[in-house]
Amino acid sequence: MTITIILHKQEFTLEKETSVMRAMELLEVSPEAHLAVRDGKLLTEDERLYQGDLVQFISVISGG
Amino acid sequence: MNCKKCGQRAAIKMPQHNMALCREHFLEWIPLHTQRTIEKYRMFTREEKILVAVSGGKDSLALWDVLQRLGYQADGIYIHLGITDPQNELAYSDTSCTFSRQFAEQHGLNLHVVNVKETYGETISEINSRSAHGRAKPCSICGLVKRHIMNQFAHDEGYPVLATGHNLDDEAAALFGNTLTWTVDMLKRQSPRLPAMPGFARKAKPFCRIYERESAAYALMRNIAYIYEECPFSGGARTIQYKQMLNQLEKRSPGTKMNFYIQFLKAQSELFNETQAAIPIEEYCPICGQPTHSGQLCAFCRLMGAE
Repeated sequence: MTITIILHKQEFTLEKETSVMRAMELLEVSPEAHLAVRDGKLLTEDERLYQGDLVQFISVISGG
Repeated sequence: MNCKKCGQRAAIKMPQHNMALCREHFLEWIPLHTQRTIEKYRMFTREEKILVAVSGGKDSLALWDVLQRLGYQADGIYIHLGITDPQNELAYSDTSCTFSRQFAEQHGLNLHVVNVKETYGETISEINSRSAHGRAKPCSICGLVKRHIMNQFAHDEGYPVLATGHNLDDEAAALFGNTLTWTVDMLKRQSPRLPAMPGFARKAKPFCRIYERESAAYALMRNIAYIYEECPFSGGARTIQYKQMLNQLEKRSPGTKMNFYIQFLKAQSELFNETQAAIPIEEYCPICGQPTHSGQLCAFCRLMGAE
């Protein structure tokens, strides 16, 4: 079992359980510019991610 | 992390306010915070007809949602720019238009759609491709076209107020950019509320004190379907670079973006002579009739080749 993270339509896998904050660091994602969603619910950065989780990191920056 | 109000599990942390909130209390907080902003800057009243500029993105749809929940008379305007993204096979404008229409239908709201191609004979992509400026700075041309259409529509249809979904990150990024170049004219005019002038409706930015992240969180928590994809023309846009830089500062020191913008608004009257802040426009474009500083054709009519 792994943790699956979807970011910009790409899938990433993490082997070990970790926090949202740590997962964002590993993927070099800014928590100021992204939201983490699991099962349709928003997660704060201290939330734990478990084996089998499917988590989406949604970019919130837009503009031009 | 727990909700500051009820102690339940928090859904979002807002370090700049030293606060975390659960879904229920965050969905209460956003409209309350928006209402306080509307009142603080005397943006509009519930007796006025408001035209909300809707793009199909998170900010404008979240703003429209909040305004109707607060009891404002808010209609929407969507400008179909005719943009497609061949790389991702995405009909960008068609998709964002669909999200806007769906939202309006689901909430029983009135949405006006202006199609640039049908009205002016060219899509924004075609307009951009005609000039070096358009190819180099497509967002600048697009902004000009959208502002012209929104101003014209608000004027013709009798809307005294035009509301846009600019959030605090948008405002801080604009301020950052205009400060880097000392574009004094733009710094003078940057405001949560621009008063009406002959030919122009009042402009208001009710989300100007809400972080972009919070606006997106509100849209997600309310299950508002919006277009996630960015406009294909926005890649490499300076606004996005400025937002990323400001977010790096925000990470080290929460509240930096908020203080940068809010303290600027407080200092604005000291920095600039208030009488200079709003330069009255007394000349009008001979083609479209919109106010213009030049006394000749306005920038939009020049762009469209009107002679």
